[in-house]
Amino acid sequence: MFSEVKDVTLRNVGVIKQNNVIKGYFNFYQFDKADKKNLIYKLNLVDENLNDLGTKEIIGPKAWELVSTGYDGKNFCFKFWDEKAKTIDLKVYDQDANEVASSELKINYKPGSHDYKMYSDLTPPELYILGNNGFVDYTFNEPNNAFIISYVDGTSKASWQTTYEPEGKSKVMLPTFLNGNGDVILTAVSRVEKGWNNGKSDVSVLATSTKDGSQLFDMSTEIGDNHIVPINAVFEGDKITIIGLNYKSKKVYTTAPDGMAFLEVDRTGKLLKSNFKTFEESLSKYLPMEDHRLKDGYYLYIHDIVRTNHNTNIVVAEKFKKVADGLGIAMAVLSQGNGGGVAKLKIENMVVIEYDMNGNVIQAKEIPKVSGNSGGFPQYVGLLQPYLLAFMANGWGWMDYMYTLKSDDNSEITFSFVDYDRLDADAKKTRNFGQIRYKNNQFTVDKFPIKNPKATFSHLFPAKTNHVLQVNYYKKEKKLSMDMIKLNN
Amino acid sequence: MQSKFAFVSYIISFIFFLGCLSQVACAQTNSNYVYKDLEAYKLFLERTKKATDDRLEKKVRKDYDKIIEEKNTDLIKRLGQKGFLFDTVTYPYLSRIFNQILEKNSLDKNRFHFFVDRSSDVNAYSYEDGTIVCDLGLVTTMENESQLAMSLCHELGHYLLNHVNNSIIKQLEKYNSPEFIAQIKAIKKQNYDTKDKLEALLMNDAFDRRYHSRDQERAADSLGIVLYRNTAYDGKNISHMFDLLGAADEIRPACSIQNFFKQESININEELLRPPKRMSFGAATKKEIVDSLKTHPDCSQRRMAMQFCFSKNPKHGSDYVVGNEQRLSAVKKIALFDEAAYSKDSNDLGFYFYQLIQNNSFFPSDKQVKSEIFDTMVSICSHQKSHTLYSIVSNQYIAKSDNDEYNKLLKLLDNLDMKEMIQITSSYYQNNKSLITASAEAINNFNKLKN
Repeated sequence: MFSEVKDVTLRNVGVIKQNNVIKGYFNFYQFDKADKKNLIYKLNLVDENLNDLGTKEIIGPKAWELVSTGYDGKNFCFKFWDEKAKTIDLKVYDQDANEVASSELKINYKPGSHDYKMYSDLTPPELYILGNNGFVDYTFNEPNNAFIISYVDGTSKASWQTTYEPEGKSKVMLPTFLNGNGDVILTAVSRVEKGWNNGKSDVSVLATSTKDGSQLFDMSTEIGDNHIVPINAVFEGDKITIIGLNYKSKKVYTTAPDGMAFLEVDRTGKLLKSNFKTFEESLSKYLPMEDHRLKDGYYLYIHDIVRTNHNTNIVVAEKFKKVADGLGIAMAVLSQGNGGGVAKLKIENMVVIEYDMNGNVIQAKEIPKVSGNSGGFPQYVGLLQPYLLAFMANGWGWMDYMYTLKSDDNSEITFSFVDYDRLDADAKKTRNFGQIRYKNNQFTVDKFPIKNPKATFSHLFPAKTNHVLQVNYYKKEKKLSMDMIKLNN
Repeated sequence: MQSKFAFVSYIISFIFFLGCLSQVACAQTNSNYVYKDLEAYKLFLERTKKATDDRLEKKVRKDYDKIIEEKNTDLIKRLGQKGFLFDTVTYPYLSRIFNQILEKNSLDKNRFHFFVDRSSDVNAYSYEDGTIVCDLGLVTTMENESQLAMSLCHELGHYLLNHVNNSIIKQLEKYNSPEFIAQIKAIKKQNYDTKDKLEALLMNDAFDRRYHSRDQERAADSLGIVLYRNTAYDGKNISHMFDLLGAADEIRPACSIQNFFKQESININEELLRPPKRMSFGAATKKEIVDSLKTHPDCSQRRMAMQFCFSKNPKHGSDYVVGNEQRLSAVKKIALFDEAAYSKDSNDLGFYFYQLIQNNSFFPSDKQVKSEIFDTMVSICSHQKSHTLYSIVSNQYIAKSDNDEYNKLLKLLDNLDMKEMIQITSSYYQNNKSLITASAEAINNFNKLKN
């Protein structure tokens, strides 16, 4: 009965993840006034089945937001942002809800600056988890347009912060977490040269010591005429395998990737082996191709690459092509260039491809979904390359891919997307949740309507393996239901 | 709720005996759940409320009425939702035990109503109006009539000592007292941390009530013994009922999930049954203050007290007065089947499936059990297909231990994909088709699912 506190202000709600595994959900709410400067907050956690795990009372500043959370198998980490003090706090709690470690960082950028906006648009505020060896966070550092890595661990109680300071200048440096363990944190760094129209980037893999934050190596991924953008990395004994997309130019944001890249390096960053497979040579057996591209001029937009439990890698992608919008062109002419957009993307089927470690395709499958046009791009970007438009469309949420999840042991991987099709021949078109599931070396698909027909509105949240959490609101009954929907595939 | 699935091991022995019974009424019809005296009962509830009202101070009367009306509405609603059993075997048998206690104690029958709750909870309870209720879970757990009679005497003790009314009125008087109102006002006047202080005040009050509630339990035990002494039941085996109540919390099912499928030659990967390691974040909030017969003051303490009482002053009689061992066995079988059917009526097919698996181990050749298992499997497949499994299988159950077999079944249902579930159902049907008398609808539905 005391858990039902009604007079509260909900600040933040979200999922608790252990990398790509959903472990539960959090509610962070303002409970009471503590003193003149501080508020009493309550942080309530529930598990993946929505069972209560406990509530922690925390006193904190008035302008506090809970930005991101993570679970490393032992401890929970919470990333708080204090807008007034301009600080980012990482707080680690053990399973008894005791604070066991923390790290505070005074930000080194102006939140309204153009460079920060560019950084934040392309770098999610997520916390990253190093197995059960702690948590990592990246923060923009305006003086050199790079970033600060913050590390905190609840078990050893260690924490450190280190600023990435490479030689030379770039417009902005974007970090992508690749993998990490008790020894090393691997980050892909994209150094974008100038504006987006140019789009030239130098990419490297930065290895940072987990123990003290010192730099172990920073290796360029430019190998001959190959420019690799790493997407994930795997530790195998003394070797590290880096998997990424290969481009034939430095314009990695504006051109389509040529294929996949597999790099094997040692613990000092020395390249031991490299393997490049073009999509054309590897995919032509599985997907219709013409003129070195997918049939009908489609491109593949790669959303994610995930490692399975038997050392293969699955790429999830979405087919798209740039189309001219007739109405947009007419509007542009009539309004002398001040009207709507003239370019759109036609977004089509999902594609999943399984690669072995030598870059050979084991299987590839096209998952049909209704093709649709994206929103019209503003005229000032309408002439950009299709792949850059797709990159922007993805950032604006115009693509149908939603997220990737997996089971603890990587034996099951699911890719979620939205589809606007009829589920049965005689059914109406509905907005559907779709799931591609990889299990036992097979891809299967299931879909269901996002909206519960009886509810006023429905919203979906990522959930435990092979499930999705549907939150329904019933206006007439003033009722909220949370249904853990199991997928069939 | 903890004891929902507690099929204590001793049941197994007499169940074998039960299996030898030539016929026991199993199928329950809808009329078994209809209370024929509903209108009279409504008047009875109204009359008892009014009688208490007349004795109450004006300042608490309104709140008291609200509480009792809410309780009465819920009770009537449950009577309309097949919540209680009024069959021709169990209900008359238990009513006779109850009436016998009333008669021997010269208590006026018109002051009481006796119901049998279809819940598998190992519990009995009473209301302030004179309604005494025995759960089917208690019937399947007690060893003999005398233990059932003692449980009912305990509940009668609560009623005769006016415990429920006294607690409500005392609480309302406290909340309306100038001291309590002043405490609330003083907290509200403060600028900071007011909610925590209000919570602490209420929490103190809850602990206070819990403490007094334990006193009430001891008093109900004492008066229960007095009432019991006037009956023709024996006192020798009575204290053992507390061992049974205590053991009801321990999960000792008759059949493990893995064994059930093994017996059907259906191979289930052990990993699919294994629940993940549970996380915690401090202590989870308890949803309610639990209060039931078995969570009263420590069962072992109560057993010792009762043992002392009956050894010091023995009570001679019989363990069976209105029936016999065979009759109670027949009643227990009905209780086992009906508490399972209640899960089905409550749309909890996950728990129903679990209860059927247990009943299957007691009655391995029972056509009804086999058919219901098949029907339930088909229903689970259908719900899975329509993405509504959440509506019939609980996903918020918290396991009592690593060996909680009900939790393993839930985990299995959570892990199996539809294709695997259809394969399992198909194998089960093939293994048992000579015993399955499934409806044409179920067969038809299943064939559609397979295709």
